[in-house]
Parts: sequence; structure tokens; C-alpha cells
Amino acid sequence: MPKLATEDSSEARTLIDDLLTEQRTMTAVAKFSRLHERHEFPAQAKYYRDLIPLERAQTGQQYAFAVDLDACTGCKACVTACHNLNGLDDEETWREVGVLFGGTTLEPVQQTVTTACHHCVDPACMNGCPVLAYEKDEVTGIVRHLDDQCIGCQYCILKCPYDVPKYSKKRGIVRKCDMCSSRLAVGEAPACVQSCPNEAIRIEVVNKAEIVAEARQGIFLPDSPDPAYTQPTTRYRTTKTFPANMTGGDHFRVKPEHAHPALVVMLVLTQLSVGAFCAEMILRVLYATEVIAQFTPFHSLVALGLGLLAIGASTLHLGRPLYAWRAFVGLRTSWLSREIIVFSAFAGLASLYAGMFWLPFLAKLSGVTILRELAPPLVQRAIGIFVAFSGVVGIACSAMIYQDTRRKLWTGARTFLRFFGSAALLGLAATLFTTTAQAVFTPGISSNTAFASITAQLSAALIAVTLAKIGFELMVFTHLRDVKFSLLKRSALLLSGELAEATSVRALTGAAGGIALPFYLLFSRPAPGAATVGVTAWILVFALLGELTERYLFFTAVVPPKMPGGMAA
Amino acid sequence: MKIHPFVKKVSSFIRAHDGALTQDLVLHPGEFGLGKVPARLTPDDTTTMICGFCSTGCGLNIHLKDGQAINLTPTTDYPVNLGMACPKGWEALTPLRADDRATTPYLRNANGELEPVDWETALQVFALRFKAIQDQHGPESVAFLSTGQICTEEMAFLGALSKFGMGMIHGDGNTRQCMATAVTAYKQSFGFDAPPYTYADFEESDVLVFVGSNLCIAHPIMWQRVLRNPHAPEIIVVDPRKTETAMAATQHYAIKPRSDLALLYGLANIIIASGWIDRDYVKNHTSGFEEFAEFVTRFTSDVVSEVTGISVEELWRFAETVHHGKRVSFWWTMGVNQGHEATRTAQAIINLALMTGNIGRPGTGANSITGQCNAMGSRLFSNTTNLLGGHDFLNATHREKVARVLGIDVQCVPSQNSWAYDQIVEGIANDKIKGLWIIATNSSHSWINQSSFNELTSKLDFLVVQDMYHTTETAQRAHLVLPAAGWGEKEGTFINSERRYGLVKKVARAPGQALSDFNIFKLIAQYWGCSEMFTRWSSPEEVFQIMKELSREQPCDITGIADYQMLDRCGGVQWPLRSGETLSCSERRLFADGTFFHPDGKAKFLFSEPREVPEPTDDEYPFTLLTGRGSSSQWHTQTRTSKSAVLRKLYPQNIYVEINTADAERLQIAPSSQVAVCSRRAKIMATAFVTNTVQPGQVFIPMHYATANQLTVSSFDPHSRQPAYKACAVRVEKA
Repeated sequence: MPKLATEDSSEARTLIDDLLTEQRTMTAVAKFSRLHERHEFPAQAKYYRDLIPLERAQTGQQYAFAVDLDACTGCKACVTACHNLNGLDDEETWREVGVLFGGTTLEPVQQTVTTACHHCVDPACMNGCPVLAYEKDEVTGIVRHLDDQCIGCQYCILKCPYDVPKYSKKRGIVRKCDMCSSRLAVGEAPACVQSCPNEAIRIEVVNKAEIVAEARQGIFLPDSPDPAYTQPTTRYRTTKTFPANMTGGDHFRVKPEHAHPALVVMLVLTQLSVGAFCAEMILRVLYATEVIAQFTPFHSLVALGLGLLAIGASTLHLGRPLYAWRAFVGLRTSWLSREIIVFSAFAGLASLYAGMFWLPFLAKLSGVTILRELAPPLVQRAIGIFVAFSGVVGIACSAMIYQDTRRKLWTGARTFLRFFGSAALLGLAATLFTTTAQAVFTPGISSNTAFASITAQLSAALIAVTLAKIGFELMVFTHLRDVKFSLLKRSALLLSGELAEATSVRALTGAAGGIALPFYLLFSRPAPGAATVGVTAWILVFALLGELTERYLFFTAVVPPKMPGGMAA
Repeated sequence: MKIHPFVKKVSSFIRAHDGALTQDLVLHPGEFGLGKVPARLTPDDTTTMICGFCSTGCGLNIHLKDGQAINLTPTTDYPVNLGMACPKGWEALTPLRADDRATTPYLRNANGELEPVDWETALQVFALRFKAIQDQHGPESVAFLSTGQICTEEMAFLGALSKFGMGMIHGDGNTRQCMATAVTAYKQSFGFDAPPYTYADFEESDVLVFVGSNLCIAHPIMWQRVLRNPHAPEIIVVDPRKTETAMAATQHYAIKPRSDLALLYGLANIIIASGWIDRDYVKNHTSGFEEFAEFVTRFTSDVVSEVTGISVEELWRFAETVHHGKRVSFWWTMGVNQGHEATRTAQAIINLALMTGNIGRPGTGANSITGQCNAMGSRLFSNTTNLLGGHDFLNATHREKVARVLGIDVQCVPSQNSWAYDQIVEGIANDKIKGLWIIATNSSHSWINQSSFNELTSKLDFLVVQDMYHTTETAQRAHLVLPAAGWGEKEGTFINSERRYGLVKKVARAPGQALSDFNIFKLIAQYWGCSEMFTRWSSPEEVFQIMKELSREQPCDITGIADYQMLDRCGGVQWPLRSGETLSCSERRLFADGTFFHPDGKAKFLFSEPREVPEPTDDEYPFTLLTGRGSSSQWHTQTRTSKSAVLRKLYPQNIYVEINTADAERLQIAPSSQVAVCSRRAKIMATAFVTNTVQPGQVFIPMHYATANQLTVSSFDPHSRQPAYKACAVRVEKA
């Protein structure tokens, strides 16, 4: 048997205890003298003194990052220094290092690229913010984010073509690089400038007019977003001439974007609500008042209810919904601000309009007959028109929010046709449901041919709209044939690849709710009753599912422009 | 205009410029020469210590609050890094706070699961099991695998404890995987393992030649020194890939994999034939030149051009650049060290420096850049290949000296050499090694032909892993896991690439029951029953004094370094500093007088005929697989770097394989698609990264991903026994 140290086990236990205690005693301060005295000037200044401007920016000028690409070798110290010297959250980074690859086998080229906020001449983040949580400093031109003003709508993330603002879920706000403005204010260099071993990053004073002129000519960096949009002020300098085929390290990686479920619900249901009110207005023109009057109280209540649900859902998207009321301050530049205001008006008007139908009922219930007089039909009809009009304007604002991001999948007619298409499609489906449902509660309606004709017309219109809309959506797949790895090709690859399941769900539910079931209604013309309501309910459910999935894909399949990223795997 | 306070309040309610969220990011003057720091991380003191990742040995200024580290910045005036650090350095404190730190010993229970136990149990089992194995199979049947990541004092303790106290014969370190070649090359050429340079040489050369070194990524702070060079130097990079460093070079030679030895002999041939040698230097300070000159004549430019794939003109341009340089420095890293004929390749570089007289002067040298933070400490004090203090186990005088200094019986000092890492692994296969103690290395990930290693571990009767984390691939296979304190949680010294001793300090509390490796060794001595042998080994600082004595009269003599305080005060001290010498300069180099460490004072020209690669490509496996560093934010098997959320953002999350555009097109491999990479050992999946920076017929996979070493082939340099990670044959298939 091997000999164990049992005879001195009492001592051994003591040694373990001693060593555990010793392990927990900190010794660095007591044992070693400190290098710098408490009040010394920043020692690092000797390295960065020439890397920050001595002079203030004059009128027409601003501060900007300048990157010497010949010196940037991809060590990424800038990213970690920024992280540590600014006390960011564990995973939070305000600077990134990407890489460009290109050239030929005989002359291959790679170039690492450090990038942060470009403190643009015309910052898209700032222009889009509904609460003015961004300001561009009048003297330095630094684009600063006001953390306590932010409501966490994240629209700036969609707006910035450089993927700069980063959302902090923990805080419910966005944060971003401020060029270490408080350091610059006292003559210290930003963290990235201080920490680059190769002095590749400096701050310089630039003339904004020059930046704008260069941006308009597209002078910036290969495989990067068009600088004309926001006029980024960072200047990338190199003595090399890059080959034409330089692409970012993440160029060929496509990955789904955030789905923003609250926005999906909000958009689809507001569009349903507006569509339903509009359908009602159109039916008013086409049919006799007494026919319309039979279903409008219920119909408008359904439309209003879903509209209010949509607006409620939208607050779930916000990081700090309690401050959502600030949204009016951005009206001058922000489509999001405008959307919020217009839909608020829509909600008010729609409540008023829908409420008016129930005044006679309330008068009967309470015995206050005056209530009956509060809703003259003409006034109500006028309000109805305002409801529909404000709703249409609201949808236009919604569409402009995405149009204004300049993301390829969201621009051109792509957003407008989707949003108004959803309004038409779901408005028809909802109206089909409410009108057939009404028949169950209104005795004798089955003999009314007007209702049969309404059902048929709504069904036919629904089929037409669905075919047109899905057809339009499918057009993105033509980009699969693009020779270039374009942004739309990437979206199409996502839709047919990683997101293929959702794409199928979208097509199947859309076809069931918008084509197959309406076809059944149109050709079999079932008698009004519970069975018909059942069919129209399924139409609405499927159509809604189809549009919700479409909107999910709208958010997830978009490929945002960005700076060249790191190697992706 | 005066604004009414109420208006102000309303206006700030509508548009808030300040508040709790804004205050989160407010910066305060950090004092202590720091400039502004995050207000909530304002230190009440600072101290400098050496980074614990790579061998650059950067000084980090630790920001302390109540004696504990809260943040760090690179030390402005440290002679190594001059106020800069790479991302690993900036994030050095983060891995200490990881959730998977080993906070208690773990013992594998009857169900085969690792179960927390107390130290008492762990130590009893450790001694009981290893002693039982030794009783049954002999003392040499228990071996250890150590590391370049712990402090020098700890390495010395481990080496002395295991070999003098516990009777082990065989022990090696993961340093075998990174710089064994440089050790052997220097020892044979110079008479002692002595990298001659100081980092200032990067700044003083007019020609810098980098062979198999991606300095920009692997040693960014050394590259910083290159960029500080005011002489507009020619920068030559020899690397099959167009790396970041190759991009930054003025001349890049993308030679075929493993043709470096022929290239270097070809250059020597041109230089000698052209009469571009420093005849006086060769005559006075070297031996074996004539034989070497005769040998290289067969490496004609045509032959070398054929072997390397670079043109005759390019070859001559290379040679001429070296010839025209007044101060030429040659640098090599793993591209050389991890080759199948690595030692001769390193010596071919040394030969070029010797014959052109580029050694011993500022801006010159044949300079090996080391890998790990304390690989250099391991070279002198791990008691594995060398007897403590750079001595020789086979030399009786050396054994007596060491025994005398340590006050132990000379019989305790083995008179035979240890097996190298690969021989220990082979010993497991042959049932010669039945017990293994692995300290601060992750063999199950990093050892060449990984799957074979992992199968062998199941043959062991007892495997002990001592590590900061209980989750490493190796710890997961252990019978016993000992929880170790990490860098920053203990004291000691590291020696960097340029021979500089630097201090590690205790600035963070180790979690739970974790103990410094030093304290663990102390406990093991106690439980083994050999603690009398180590009564002087009370603290790392005491051991440093022992190390000084061991180094006396050696080329690595440090008897002139008084104590830790002196190291702290001087910004580290390079060896040698002999007793009585004063430290005149913070940057010192060797061989200024042309005297080397062989008995005749001369350096040797050493060479061999190039050998065929161990696994040439063929029709079935047509690609040469290159492995290496992926990014500056990844370190080896990633046990630490993967613990920082920021570092994780700076490298690809999944394994990828770089493949040339033409090869990808031929195999119909789309960029970013999944491919299978197969060797004779394994088949792994990876994302294809299609790029022209790798040449056709070659693919590259970074070593940091767990499956990479399933592909590599067990082959070793015959002199240094370092694994040849840099080339094996593979096939790439569409997944």
C-alpha cells in the first residue's frame, strides 16, 4: 500500500485552509510601488497628440474619423479599447473591423477595415428619429445619441446604412459611438485613436462641402453602401489601388434579420382596420343606405377593435413605451413620427365613428334620448370619410417609414403595394366575414339579394387582390438569376432557403384564404347561415395568417446595407 | 435670455439631455496618468503586470479598486508594448469571470460523472492513485504534460516536485507544440537556447525577413514595433498564403507549402556564389561554413525555383535585398517551427544571418518569435527537456549543481532525458505510461491527430487535469480535476520572446476553492510526503531566488536581478543580468562580441538534405491543408478567449476552410456553403470561404476550432520532436 500522509492530516487540513486564505488576499497594492501619481496628466497623450486636431472646426467644417488603410492590419484592438474605455455592456461594441477580399490568384488582395459611426453630414438616424433623440453638434458635427430621450423604437437601426446604432434590450434604448466627445473636449483622443498600435485612426477637421461632393461621386470604400445617402464623413485613405472585385468578408453570408413581431402585428392589423373601413365606405356608395345600415354597427366595431389592438401591439415594440408620447416632436423629419400621429388621429376618429352607431342603443338603455340626436347620419358619414382618409394616409406613412430606409426589398413600389395590398385584401376578407356574420343575427336577411351580391362581389375582389399581391411578391424570385450577388438576390435566397418554410406557409395560407375559399363562396353560393359564416371566418383567419407571414418575411428577408464585415462562418 | 425653470423642466421632459441612462456612459478623469475612464470604473490605484496570453509580454496597467482589478489599459511606458495591446490583452480580465471556472476539485464517481469533492479528498486520491500506479508499473509510468501558460516559479516547482519528489522521469509541455524547434535549433547552432534579439531590432533593421510568421495577427504589438521603424525598411514575407502580414510587406514570396528549406538553401547558394558573405565574421565566429557552402551548391536557382514555385528572378531579388541590407533581421514563427524538417529550416535561417554577419548588431539577428506568454520560462525552468536553469540531465556536474542549490540528494535528479510529448503519447499506447497529469493545457483539442490522442486517454488508469476551467475537452476526460487560479489571481514571472522577465501580480480573487498552481504543487508535495524537500519553496518570490542561484554562470544568468520589486521598477529585465552588472539599457541583445556558447565560442552551420513531406498530396487527397492562427482575438484552443463576449464577436463562430476561387469553381463549391474536409484520419464539416489569398491546391483551417486537429497527421521534426501541423493531405467535397 502506498503510504498516505495521514499521520499529519491535521496539519494538512491547516495547510489547505492557509492556502485558501492566502489565495484570497490581494497583494499587488501593498507590495509594489505605483507607476503614476494620482493627479498625473494622461500619460498616453504623447502617442496621440498628433492624431487629434489642435483647432476647432470652423463654419462648414466638422470632426471626422480618418482611417489609414495601409496601417490597419486587423488587430481589432480598437474594438476592445472602445468597449473597455467606454464601459460598454459585455457584448456591446461600437466599432467593428471588417475585411475586404479581392484580386486574382496571382495578385490576391485583402484589406482590413476598421469602422464605427461615420458622423454623417446628413445622418439618417437623426432624420428618422421620431423623438429627436439624436443631435448633430453644431461645432464638432459629432452625431450624439440622447440616451434618456430614446424610446427604443429602433427605427434608427433600420435607417442607418452602416449598422451603427445598437439596441440594448436591457435598457430599452439604442446606444452608439459619440467619437468620445467628452474626451475630445478636454484634449484627449477617442479610445480607438488612443489604442491603435499602428496609428491607423485619427480625428481630423473636414470640410462638409468636400464630403458631400465626394459622396455624390460615390467615393468611399468598396462593397459599402452608397455614400450619397447620408454623406459619411470617415475618410479611408490608401496608397493602394483596389481591384474592382473587392468584397467584404461577410459578402456571401445571408442571414435572416430580426422579425419584429410587434411591428408585424401592428402593420397587418392597422391595414386590416383601414381596409375594412374603406370597404365600408365603398359599399356605401354601391348599395342602398338601409342595406348598409344593417351591418355597419358590427362591422365598424370589428374594424375599430382590430385597429386599436394594432396600435396597442405597436407599443410592445418600444423599449420604453412610457415615453411614446414624445413621438410628436419628430414630425418635421420622421415618417415614424408622422405615422404615430396620423394613426392616433385615425384611432380617435374611428372610435368616434364606430361609437356613433351605438348611440341609439345607449339612448334606449339609459333613457337619455338626447344621445340619439348626437349622431346625425350626415355628420357620421363625413366622419367615416375622414376615418378612411386618415387610415389611408396612415398606411402611406407606414410605407414611407420603410421606403425611407432605402433597403432594397423595401423600396420602389415594394412596400406600398404590400401595405395597400394587405389593406385591400384583409379589408375585403374582414368585410366578407362581418357581412355574412350579420346575416345570422338579422332575421329575413337571407331573402335580401343585395347581401348575396355583396358576398359575391367581395369574394371576387378578394380573389383578384390576392392573386395580384402574391404574384407581385413572387417577383422577387426573378432575382435568383442575378449574376451579381445583389441585395435582392440575397433576399430571394433567404426566402427560398433559410426562410423557405415561412415562404410556403405564406403561399398556402394566402391561397387558401384569398383564393380557394372565396372561389367556393363564389361558385357554390351557400345560403346565409352559420356554415357560411364559418367559411368567411376561415377566409379571414387564413388571409390574416397569410399577411402576417408575409410581413414576417418582409422583416426577416430584408438584407440591410452595411460596411464590409469580418469573415463569416 | 433667461429661461424660466419651469419651462426648462418641461422642455427637458419633452427632450431629455440627461438622466440615468446618459449617466451610465459618463466618463471621469481616471487619475494615475490614465485620462478619462468610465465613471463607475474609476480606480483608486493602479499597478502594472504582464499579459498572460502570448509571448510578446505586454505590460498591462491594471485599474484597481480596493485592491481588485476592475479594468485595464496597456502600460504607456512599458518597453515592450509602448501603451498598446491587442484585443486579448484588453480583454484579459474577462475570462477570469467565466461561469465555467473550476471552483472545486472534481472526481469521477462510480457513474462516470465528475463530482465535486473537497481538496482533502482530491489530494488523497491524487497521491493514492499515482503511487499505486508507480508501485505497479514503476515510477516512470506516471508522466506530466505541462504548459507555457503558468509562471516560471510554478513550472520550476512542478518540474522539481514531479521529477525530484515524485520520481517521475517523463514530463513535457505544450511548448513542444510551439517552440521546441527554436530551442533545438539555437542549442545546436549557438550552444545554448538563446534568442538573440530585443524588440528594438524591429525598429532598427533596414531589411526584415519574416518566414512563416503572420505577425500582424499573431503578434500585433510586435508589428506595431515594425511600423515604428523609421528606415523605410524592405519587409519580406515568406508564406504560402497572402496573409495580413504578406499584404503589409514590400515583397511577398508565396512559396509552395514546405519548400522553405529549399528556398533558404537556394538563397544561401546565391549569396555565397555571389561573394556576398561577411568573410571576417564567418572566419572568426563560425564553424562548418565550408561544408555548408559546398552542400548548398546543389540548390541552384533553377532547382529551387522548381521546388518553391517562385521564379528565378524573384529568388535573386530576395537574395539581393538581403545583400543590400545593412541591418537585416530574420524572424520566424510557427510556419517554420511546425514543419517536418523544422529544426534544419530554422538553422537555414540562422545560417543566412551568420554568413552575412547579421547578428549581434542592432536591427539584425536570426530571431524566433515565441508563442505562449511563458514558453521562454518553460525552456529554462520546466525541468522537462532541460534540467532546471537550462542545464543538462545527462551532465553529472549539472546534476550536482542543481542538487546543491536545491539542497537535495543528487540521486533524486534523473540522469536520463525525458520523453518528448509525442513519445509520452506513444508510451500510453504501449502501456508504458499509465498515469498522466496535465497542467494548463488542452491536449484533447490541440494535440496532432486529435482523435487518436483522445482514444488513448481512455487507456490511462488515472488522468488528472489541473485547469482554470472544468469544461475543457481534456478536463472532461479526466478522472480528477484540480481547480487552478489563473493569470491575475497569483504571483510569479513570465519570460517573453526577447528574454524579458516580467511580473504577474495577484489582482483578482480566484473563485471558490481554486488555488494557484504554486499552492496546488505545495499541497501535492505535502500529500505525497516529500514536502521536506521543498521547505525553501514557500512563495513564488522565494523560488525566484532559487532560480537565480540555478542560473548562476549559465548564459541565462539572472543573479543580477535583485527581486520582484526590481522587475517591477525596471519594466522587466532581459536575461542575462549577472550579479554585479548594472542594468544600463532596457533593450539588450546577445552576441555583440561574436562569442557564442559552444566551447570554441563559435556558431555552427548546420544543415541536412531536405526530406519529402510526410504526407504528400495524391489523387485521393489532392489538397495540402495548412493550419494556423485565425484572428488576433483567438488564442489556441480558446478555453479563455471564447469566454469574452467581445472577443467572440471578433472571429467567425464556426469552423471554416479557405479555398481558392478556381478550386471552388471546379468543385462547384459556392461561397459560404458547407463542405466536408477529409483526411486519412477524419472527415469534418466546415464553411467554405472562397478566396484568392490561398493558392490553388491548398486549403487553410484555423487551429482554434475543435475539429481542426482531427485532420492533422502525426509527424514530427526528428530533432525537436515538434509536431508538423502545417501540412497534411486532404480532400474537399461539397456537403
